[in-house]
Amino acid sequence: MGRGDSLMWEKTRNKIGKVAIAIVALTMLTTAFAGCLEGDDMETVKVNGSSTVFPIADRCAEIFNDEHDDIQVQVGAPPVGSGGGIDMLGQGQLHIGCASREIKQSERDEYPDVDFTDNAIAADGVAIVVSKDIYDAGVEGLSSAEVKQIYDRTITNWQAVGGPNQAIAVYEREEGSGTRDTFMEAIYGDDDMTTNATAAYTSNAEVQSAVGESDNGIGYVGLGYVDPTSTPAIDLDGVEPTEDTIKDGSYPINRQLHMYTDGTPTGAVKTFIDFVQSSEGQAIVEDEGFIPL
Amino acid sequence: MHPTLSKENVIKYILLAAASFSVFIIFLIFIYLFQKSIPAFQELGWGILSREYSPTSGRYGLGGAIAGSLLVTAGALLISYPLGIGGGIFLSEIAPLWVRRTLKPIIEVLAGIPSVIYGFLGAVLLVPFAYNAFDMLQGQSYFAGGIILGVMTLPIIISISDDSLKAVPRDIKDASLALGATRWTTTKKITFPAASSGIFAAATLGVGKAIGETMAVLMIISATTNAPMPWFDFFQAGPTLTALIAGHMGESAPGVARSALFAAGVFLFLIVGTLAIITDIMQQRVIKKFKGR
Repeated sequence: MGRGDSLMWEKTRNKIGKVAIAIVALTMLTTAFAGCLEGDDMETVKVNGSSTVFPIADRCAEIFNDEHDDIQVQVGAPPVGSGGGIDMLGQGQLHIGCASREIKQSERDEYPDVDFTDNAIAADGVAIVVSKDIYDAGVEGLSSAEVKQIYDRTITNWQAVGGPNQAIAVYEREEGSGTRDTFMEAIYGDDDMTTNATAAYTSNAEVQSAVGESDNGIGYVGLGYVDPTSTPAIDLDGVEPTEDTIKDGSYPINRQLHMYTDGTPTGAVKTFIDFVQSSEGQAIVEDEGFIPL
Repeated sequence: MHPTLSKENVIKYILLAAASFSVFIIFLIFIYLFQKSIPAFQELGWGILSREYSPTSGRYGLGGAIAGSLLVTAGALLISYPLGIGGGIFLSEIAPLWVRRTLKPIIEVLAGIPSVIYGFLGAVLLVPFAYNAFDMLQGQSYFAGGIILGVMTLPIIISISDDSLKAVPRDIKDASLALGATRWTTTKKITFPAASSGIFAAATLGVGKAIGETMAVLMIISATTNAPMPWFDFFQAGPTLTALIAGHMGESAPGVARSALFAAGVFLFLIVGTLAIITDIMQQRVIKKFKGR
């Protein structure tokens, strides 16, 4: 180990020192800028909750924030779910709790001091879809009771409901999904029940493609995901799922999407909710595959 | 002259720090996982091994997922061990140079393909194929998952087997051939045993990769939590530990629900750890056996 080596080591050390200083400086600069951007004179509206409402809230916030210099809407990511949003609103951590279902009495009881106020922002329906082959073979509608029996697997063959002699592959959404809750509420009368479905997916798109790829499948998806060429929607209790039948409530699996607030919204919170309910906000609702109010 | 750390020593300490760092991280992960899973173990007791998993009704049994993970991994290894080790022997002992030079890089590229690609191909090609070819209820199954995981682990096993076989000194093989042994006998009795520790290492890596794979499993087997009936039915879909965690983390309520997911992580950790120890013991035995003669 000669002098040259130790000199080289010193040079390396100097370089490391410079890099370290640069990193520290950069970090400080970024933090400073972030501080500037946040600003103290801005009013913040904190939003979180249902993953179904998330795309609507997120896109509305993006456009809303561009138009308003004095209000900053923050949509929390990842979404904590309908129940999580209501909890956070109850604990005062949010201004708006998004939910893809109505608030439960148990939740109101848990936060007696909070005046949970419902602001509807969109409607949504869950359509029951079957494989194209099944639809073509004559299964164009089912009753709620038949759907329940299929999901319980007490009916396991399409023949029992007027279809071909084929086993039924039953696709559902994973527990915790708002789409699932709406389906379970309408078909089972309670969203805390379990089914005997043979496969479950974590998104509408995956359920749609699984039913579409098979020729013996049944599944349920948001109305926007129905594809008549591969996964036609069937009538439920004789009612076809359309925007109109969902809006007037005659189609049984329907729900509203909500933004819950503590008391009647005022100030910046009101400005944002008004924006979501305005024609501009409702255009976003429609863009995201939901039904405007 | 300042009292220098000699260059050699500096490097030694850096390397020591690097090595201890990874051990330290693994240790931290385990402590964290275990600590977070304590509420689930306390609350559920042995119930954690039941096969009923349904967060909405407060049941958090992981038995179905543990069985599922083991089934899929076993299926994957049935495919990847014979093909992988066979492929390794072919590449290093039998293939002419040009074949080896062509195949080796291709196999290494195969190892680098992200799992989501395998998952996607599995979902759109293998799942419908399995459904049509084997007259199953649906293509989504442990069977299809096992095939894809087998294919995914194949390149690792081929590559490492080939490397370890190639690392066996020429002299030993030449000695065997000079004694009149055929090439096959030499491979079987001399080269393979000499390379066995590397091949066992490949096997352990393969198991680890197969059991820990999440994305492909979610896309092919789906996120269902309904265990197949009977629970060992390889040709139905069911839960696995990784899919359970990935499918439910987003909507899990704090408390036992989330703690149970950490418990699933603990079981994964324990299974991988146990398998690593078993392969290590087998490796020691093989080495001993061949040294003694």
